[in-house]
Amino acid sequence: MKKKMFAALMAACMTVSVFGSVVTASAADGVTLTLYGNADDLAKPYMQKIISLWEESSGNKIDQQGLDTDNAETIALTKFTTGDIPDLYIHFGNSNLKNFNPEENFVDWSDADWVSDIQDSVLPQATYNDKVIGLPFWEASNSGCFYNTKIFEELGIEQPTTQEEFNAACDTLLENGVQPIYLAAADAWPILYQFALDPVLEEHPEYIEKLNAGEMSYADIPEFTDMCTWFKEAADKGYFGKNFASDTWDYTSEVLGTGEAAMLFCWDTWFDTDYDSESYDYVGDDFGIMPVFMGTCDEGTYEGGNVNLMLVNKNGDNVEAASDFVNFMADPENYNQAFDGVSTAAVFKQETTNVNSTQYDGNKDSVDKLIRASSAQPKIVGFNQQEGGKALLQLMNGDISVEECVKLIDDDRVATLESFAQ
Amino acid sequence: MNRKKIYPLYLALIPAVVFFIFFIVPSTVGYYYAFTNWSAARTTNLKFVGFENIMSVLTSTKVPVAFVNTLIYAGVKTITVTLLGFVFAYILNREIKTRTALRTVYFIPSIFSCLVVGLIFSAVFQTRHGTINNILNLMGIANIQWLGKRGTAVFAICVAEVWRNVGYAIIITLAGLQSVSSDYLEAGKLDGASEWQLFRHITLPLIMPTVNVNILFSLIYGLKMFDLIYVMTGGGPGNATESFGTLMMNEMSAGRYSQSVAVNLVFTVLLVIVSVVYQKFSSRWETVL
Repeated sequence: MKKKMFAALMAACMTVSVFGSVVTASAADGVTLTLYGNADDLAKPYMQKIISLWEESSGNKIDQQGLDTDNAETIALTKFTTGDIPDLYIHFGNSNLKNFNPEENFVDWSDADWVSDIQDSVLPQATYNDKVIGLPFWEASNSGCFYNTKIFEELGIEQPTTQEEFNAACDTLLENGVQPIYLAAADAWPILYQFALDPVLEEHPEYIEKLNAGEMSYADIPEFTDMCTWFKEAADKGYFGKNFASDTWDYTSEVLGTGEAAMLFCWDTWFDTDYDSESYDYVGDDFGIMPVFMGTCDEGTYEGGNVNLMLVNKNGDNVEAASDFVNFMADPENYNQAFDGVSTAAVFKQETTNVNSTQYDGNKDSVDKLIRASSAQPKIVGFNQQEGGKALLQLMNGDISVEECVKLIDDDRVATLESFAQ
Repeated sequence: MNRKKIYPLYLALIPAVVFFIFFIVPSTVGYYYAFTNWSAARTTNLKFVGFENIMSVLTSTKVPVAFVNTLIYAGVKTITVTLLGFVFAYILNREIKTRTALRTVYFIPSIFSCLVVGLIFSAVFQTRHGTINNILNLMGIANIQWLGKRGTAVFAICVAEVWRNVGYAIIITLAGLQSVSSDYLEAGKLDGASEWQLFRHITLPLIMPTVNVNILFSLIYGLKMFDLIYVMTGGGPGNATESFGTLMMNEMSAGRYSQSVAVNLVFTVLLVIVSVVYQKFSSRWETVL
């Protein structure tokens, strides 16, 4: 009896599997592309929207394989090194991209029509060895120095346009009992010292190459020392208040909202997504954006967004379909549907349906003029926002000198560089 | 009938094999990576790089800070937990009405996870709205950055760790105290010994094996401290409260996997040396009557 039941079950399974394969084949009249990416990134509504739009339009399918968020890059790298390379791959276009051998594995888009549609502050992130290696398709933000416009107005402070004016504004705020800048230094990363390096690396792109080749150290970059010196002097003057060493990011809304501090180094979408406008005196719209002044660039600077790239496997069986997908994504009509109503800075020049921040709209000319591509974070191998922030905190606390701080940050970079080069 | 079973010696092979498979092999294979070029950039086709990673760990400027901090955590924890455990156990061993309830209360912190204890003490020592600073403010004293300076941050971590562990020490010491036969104490009393003399010459020597267990556990777990530091300060401010545990974590986070394993290897050697040395000397303090 048992044998008969088992045989019946097996027969049923075989029938289902045969029928199933027929169904799959009929659904796959087009092509099924494989896509690897961080699971969280793939889940973004605009990613799902653009994928479904393309599937509807082309009749093809995309098999999305979300990789564990915390280890996505390591898992992907293991797959690549064992020859398991998907048709499409989403990568946060930083210095780690070189581990994936971009020139051998990914399609070069340098001559694509859509390249001219990418914002100037974003395009460098899509570039590898002077070739456009992927399509930047992501939400972005404008980073800068955010200030309480009401407090500035009450104290008669004009928006600073130079480092000197910025320092003078801080002094005026201090004289009036307002902490100039809230710096959540205990968490290290909110020190955001990469903002100071963007203008330097834009002026000297060769620094990136030399740093990554081990031919140069941070100590050889005078502006790096200037930045550290500025942080130390600002801390000593009280620009960051008395408690910066134990201040954490959790209190940012409270400190800004109550008017205890007037400025913050941050990114504009934070005021839409995280700032608590309901609990305090000052709401998100009370804050404006101005350039960051950290001792390295007199006119100040803004930082463009850090974006994910959609990469196409140039050696795969479905290069044509995968390329078609990327071109579809880069079509203004399609990306405007995907980003409709999304709070983000525009990655494409013809992107119009996204929702720009109030801060950006309020100072658009300044942002557009001074915005620079994020360079240090994605391009310098071993750049570590967290460890660098820790060293700067030690400097501001008076535990180490400027020279020791520069060396500490550089030692950490070199350790990673050497580890990756082994 | 009192039957004594004697099992054949080869049966000892079973636990030995289990120990070998589940402990020796994984840890040995794990330490192998300290001698390779394993990193976020290279996860396959690893190369043997000799002692390069070990040397890089030994010459790192962060290791001395982590080393000193680890010794401070272990030292402070061991001394304080052992002493407090002893004092409380001695009191709880006496005829007090609320004895059972107090034993439970003192043990409760020991069952909390490190994460919970870390969050509780972060709230207590927080500069803004922290419990201690709120009390100080009521007395007209300005905020203190407990977690913002090395000295106070190390102090805060030690307080949290002692609070969490003293319950265990109490229970273990209490068990030792209760095992001391009243015959010895009564004989001492008949000979005219004072309370202090009874404690000094009878109770203390007899419970030294128990106290030694406490000391060894506190020392080893003190040297291994990681989670509480990670939750309370993340090793900060800067690297000021870093321990070997957080250092390993940081190396791993930076993608320097083989260096992280190398730190672990160096740390394990230190741990073994401390344990062996302690066990060698601690036996001298024990007495058998």
